[in-house]
Amino acid sequence: MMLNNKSILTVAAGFPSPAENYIEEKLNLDKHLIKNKESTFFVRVSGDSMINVGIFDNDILVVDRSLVPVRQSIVIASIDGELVVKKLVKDRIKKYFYLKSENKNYPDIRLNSNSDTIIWGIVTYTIHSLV
Amino acid sequence: MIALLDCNNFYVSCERLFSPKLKNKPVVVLSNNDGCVISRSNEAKELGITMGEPFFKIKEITKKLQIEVLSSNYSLYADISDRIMNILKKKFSEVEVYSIDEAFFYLNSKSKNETICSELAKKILKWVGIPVSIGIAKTKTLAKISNRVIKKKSNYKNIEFKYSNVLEIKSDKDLDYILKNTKVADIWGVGSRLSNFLINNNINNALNLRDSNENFIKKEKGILVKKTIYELRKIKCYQIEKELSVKKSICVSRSFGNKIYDYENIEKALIVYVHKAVIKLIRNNLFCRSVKIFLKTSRYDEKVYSNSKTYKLLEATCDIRLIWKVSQGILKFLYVKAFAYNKVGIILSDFSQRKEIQQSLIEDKLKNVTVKNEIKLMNVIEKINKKFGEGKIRLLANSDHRLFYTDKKPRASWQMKSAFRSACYTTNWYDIPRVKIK
Repeated sequence: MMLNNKSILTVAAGFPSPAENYIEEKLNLDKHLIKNKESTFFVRVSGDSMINVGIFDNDILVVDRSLVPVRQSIVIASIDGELVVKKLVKDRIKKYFYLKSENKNYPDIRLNSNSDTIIWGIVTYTIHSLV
Repeated sequence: MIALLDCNNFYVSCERLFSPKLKNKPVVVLSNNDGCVISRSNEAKELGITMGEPFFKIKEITKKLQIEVLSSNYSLYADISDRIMNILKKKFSEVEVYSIDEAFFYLNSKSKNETICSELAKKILKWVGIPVSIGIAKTKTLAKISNRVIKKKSNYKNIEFKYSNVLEIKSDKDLDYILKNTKVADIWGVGSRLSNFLINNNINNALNLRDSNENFIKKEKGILVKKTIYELRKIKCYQIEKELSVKKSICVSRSFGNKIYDYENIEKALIVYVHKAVIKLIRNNLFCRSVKIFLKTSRYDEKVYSNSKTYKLLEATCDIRLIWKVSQGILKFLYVKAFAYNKVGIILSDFSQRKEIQQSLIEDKLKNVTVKNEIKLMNVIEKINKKFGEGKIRLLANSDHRLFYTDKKPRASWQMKSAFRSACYTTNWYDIPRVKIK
């Protein structure tokens, strides 16, 4: 089988359409949910004790590591070698931050610099399936 | 000034990001097929595990010392690497991604290079969770050495560090001291054969080499050594090489003379295009990671169909056997009976250069052999075809896959052993990390 070189086409990629100039950009969920793609990760939730903040079992959370946590942030924290979801709360009287457990079975954890507890990232969106 | 950013124990650091329980523990990552150790945590280094050690030799020790052993998870490492390199490219215009975990870039601040790099390292650690070291010097060779100094601080006690993970070699006094305490074998570009030659000629450290007679060594060992010597003398011989922008993709396709209905004939056409595309890849010294196949009917046909699918390979390749296997798989997926097709084609993209690939895998001896064989095979095919005419050696459509193999162990390379691989945390929806509400 001999090949004819002339018949081989090299293009940059993609196929220009005559309608290209008239198409408005399609809505892009990636752009909407991911403000910083280098620092954004996804995780999946196990457990349903955060229903009160709108996080359900099996939801996908969008996590941005570049953000600075503020009061009431929902965060992914690394505690005892495990990644968990917590709410960051500031104690009104004693003025320190602690990770509040929405699950009654777990204690609140006070944040101080020498503990092994690390804030891994800030939850920015939750993706919840209704079907 | 030239900076070299190097991710610390990169593969182990990627694993730790999603498995915090691995923190402060000895961890090793194995090469493809669980062959040998290619990444070690500092704790594993301290226990005496060496780079490139075959796994079977240390299997018992890892159990005894409770060293965590992981198979390599290249889709995870490639994704994390892309993130780091993108952060770097957004900040600096001239970046050379040298390997999966290293990049060179230019710095032009007079006095703030270390501060700028320290900020950069902080940002990468926060955003992506990977610790990095950045060595700064006048040349690439010296930047490499500077980076090494950061990682082996105990060998360079006289050096004062303003930051723990960034170092610019500023004064000649520091430079001489560093070079004196760097063995020739640890210089970038000095292999074991050259280092033996140098030691036999009483050139034991980088300082000796810098102050040696470059013309004598060049005569014996070639121009590259001379360049290394110049680089040690702060004379720039290697520039930052930005990635190829010439070719972003290779597309080979053609409309059929007549409409084709049956799968077999489309496959026969595609196989020719795949062959052509791979030849182009080889001629441009490229490896690709992305294979796209498209199949369509004429736009004016009664029943219009057009579809395409892209397959991302875990590692870049130029192996026609693998690329064909992937292409065939995609074509089978795309093909639907009952349409009159008039065009099929292949687009290869996501390129890396040959040099880059080989260098990033220097430590991975097993892998290196397969890459070398891939290149050898493709060069032989090309030579024969040049001599005897295009298409003399080519793939056979519809044949048993065994025909494509020249290895003694068929199929082995497709079914890799990776008994301890972590999940594809960032590239597969089913594998994203689970987090408990606690």
